[in-house]
Amino acid sequence: MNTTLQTIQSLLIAQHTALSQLLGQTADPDAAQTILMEMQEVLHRINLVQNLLFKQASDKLNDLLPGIQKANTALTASLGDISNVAGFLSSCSSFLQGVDQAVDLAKSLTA
Amino acid sequence: MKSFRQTSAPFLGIVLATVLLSGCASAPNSGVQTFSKGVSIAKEQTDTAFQAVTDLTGDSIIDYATSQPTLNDASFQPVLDPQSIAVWDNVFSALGKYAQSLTLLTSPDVTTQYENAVVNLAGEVKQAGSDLQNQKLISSSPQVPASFAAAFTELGDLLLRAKAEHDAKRIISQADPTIRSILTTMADTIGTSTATPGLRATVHANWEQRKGAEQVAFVKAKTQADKRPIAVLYSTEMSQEAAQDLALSSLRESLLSLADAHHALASNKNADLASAVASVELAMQNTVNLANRFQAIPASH
Repeated sequence: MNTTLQTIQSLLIAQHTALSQLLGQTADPDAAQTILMEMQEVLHRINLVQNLLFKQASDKLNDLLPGIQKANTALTASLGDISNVAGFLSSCSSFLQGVDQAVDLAKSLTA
Repeated sequence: MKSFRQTSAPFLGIVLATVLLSGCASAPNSGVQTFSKGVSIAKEQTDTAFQAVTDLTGDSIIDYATSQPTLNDASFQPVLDPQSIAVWDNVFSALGKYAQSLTLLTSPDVTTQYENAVVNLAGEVKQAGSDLQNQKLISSSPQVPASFAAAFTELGDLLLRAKAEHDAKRIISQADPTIRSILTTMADTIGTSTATPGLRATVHANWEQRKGAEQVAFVKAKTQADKRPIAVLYSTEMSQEAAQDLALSSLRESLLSLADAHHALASNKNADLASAVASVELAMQNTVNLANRFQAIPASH
């Protein structure tokens, strides 16, 4: 992930935490309200940077997606190989069923 | 001239030994099934976690917009945008399909279709031979001893199984770096603590803001009776914050355990796999328990 954005996020989180701790020690209502408003401004930026960090992580995941799709295609092909062997044998069975029917027909014609 | 059985027996022995030995180095189906289940649960819990983050931060975004002199789109930037969430959905969907295919390929039943086809074919060979003999088209019907047919089918079964296991192991090994990268990227997005960049820290800051509103209301309150409900609300929010952070932390552990479990499958280390699978199951259970607790929390006050 983008280290610059992470550094900015670290600073914002530290700032918000410091303000929160200050608020917990403030008994004056006006001062408390001011601190809360300041926290809100910082929080807005934390949310904005988090949005950018999340987008970057998602872009990275999107770039990795073809790797999984390729692996799944290879697994499907391997399953298909096994299915093809069974399919070939089933075709042989069908062919022999055809032979049986041909023999039955010959039997009825000679009877 | 030596019979087929005499000449083929040593060859079959070597082939069977090779197949059985290669089979020992296969990816255990139970581990693959646990990985698959872990992927499904991680997706479900990620959906729940993201919805909870959106609900929580949505309130903060409205509060911020309300405090601004003008109203415009810039005030409503979501923390988790829908396009990025869709990417996570796509990745989980691909991981789910991969895990399902892997489960099928390592399943003990992978060759059932082949076995059925061989048995059907043997029946048809017998029937066709018998019909041809009855019609005097051939002098004698071909006879294949049942024990030999069964042994031959078993050999084919083992060869197919060995191919399936070899393919599964090769594909797991090739996919392992990508899967680790995906799962660690997801875990990193959630974050290692509430003090370092990541969703956990962002969620913590949003809860601090929400509790801050109670702190201001508390210092403005005149009487103890006025302060008490505020203190109760503050206490409830503390519990809700703890539950949400534990859910996120547990989800992060699940994702990292899934990465370890897949790596153990790729490395063929059964001891590591057992440990990773136990971690996945424990983390999954914790995540489910915490998610249930978290779902009982109202979205906003």
